[in-house]
Amino acid sequence: MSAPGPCARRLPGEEGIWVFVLGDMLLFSLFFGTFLYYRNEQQELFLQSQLLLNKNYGAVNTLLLLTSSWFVATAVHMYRKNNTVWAGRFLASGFFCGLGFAIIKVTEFNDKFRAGITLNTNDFFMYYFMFTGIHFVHVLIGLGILFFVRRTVLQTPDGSGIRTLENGATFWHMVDLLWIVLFPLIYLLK
Amino acid sequence: MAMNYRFQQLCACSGLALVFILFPLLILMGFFPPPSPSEGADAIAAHYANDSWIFLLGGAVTIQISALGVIWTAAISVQLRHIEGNLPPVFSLSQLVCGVLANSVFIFACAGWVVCAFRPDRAPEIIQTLNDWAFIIFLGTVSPLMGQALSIGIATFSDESSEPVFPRWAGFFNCWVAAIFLPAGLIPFFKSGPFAWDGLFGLWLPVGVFGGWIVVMSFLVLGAIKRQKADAFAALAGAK
Repeated sequence: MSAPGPCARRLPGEEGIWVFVLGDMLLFSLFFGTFLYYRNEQQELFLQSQLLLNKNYGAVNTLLLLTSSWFVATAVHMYRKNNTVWAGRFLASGFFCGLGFAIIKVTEFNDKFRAGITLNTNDFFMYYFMFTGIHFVHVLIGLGILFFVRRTVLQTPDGSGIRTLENGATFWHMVDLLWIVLFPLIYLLK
Repeated sequence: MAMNYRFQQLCACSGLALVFILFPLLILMGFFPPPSPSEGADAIAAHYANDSWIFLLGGAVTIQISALGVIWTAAISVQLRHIEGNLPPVFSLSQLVCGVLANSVFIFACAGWVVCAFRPDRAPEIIQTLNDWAFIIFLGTVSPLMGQALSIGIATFSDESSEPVFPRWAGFFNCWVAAIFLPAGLIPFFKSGPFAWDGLFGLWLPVGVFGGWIVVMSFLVLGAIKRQKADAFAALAGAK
């Protein structure tokens, strides 16, 4: 690849992925804004409902996604140094951390359903299920992308897969970033 | 040959026509915001009884303009066909069938509104049922539109030509459009709040993005047709 100098400013991936990332972050910003608006109206209900959430699940999931993001970022560095094998291994590690997130999320939803808490329990749980659910769909799509990107990376030891890899990594970092806002907003905000 | 390109342009413009007819009609019918799903049967029936002719007109016209949406879909599939070249026409076909399905949704939903207004003196519960039915179909059937947007998006990514039919950002834009439609698929679970059919994520955002998406794609298709037309005429002049 045409390696820019360490100080050269360059957008990772291509412009198009940023159209998607900024567009999607706009959607989530609207989610966050809506949540805060309705939270202000029914603060007591939101605080009491929040106590029913399992913060451990949320915290472990935050760690998993952060670690996963680090793995994927390292994979990009490895690939830039033409170390395809380790890039593939780091991508696989990132994938499995993401998979761990998904499994914990399903367990968490299952716990809630068994406790009789659903989408229609109250406004807090409506937002909880909708926002984390839509984020969960992003995680699943991200896992598919990581799988596809890893295959591309392993097939292109010549470095020609950098655009695909950077696009995929950018999407995955966005998924991580959205969760880093969602977690404190829904689980922790007092 | 000129006639072929002229008709392609007409098909592309029909998307714009659809938006500029559909949105004023929806506004006229008082669907911004629509009757709330939490309203009682009597309140819903009153909407249709007060201005029944507006609903008859709006519903009847919307049923007829559904063809505009279908030929717009055809114009896009012609472009996807350019991307596919000699490969199997999977993108153009999936986009086309999803588009046909998406436009038949209009017909079913509008039929609900028309039937509500056709005999506004019938029992309010029946009107409420048809109203629920129309809105849940109209706003809740998102998978055909998502299929359309994703077919366009993936086809755009697969375009390896030196002069791509659509710019690559259009591929990402279409994926984003599909993501925006997703929450509207969940309107059956809500009778109030931002995810209900009168809320931000059930109505305003998906419907707004839907309109913007048609306008953007229409202009992208028109641009592509213009280039292809110029190429075709240049080739013809060269052959002479």
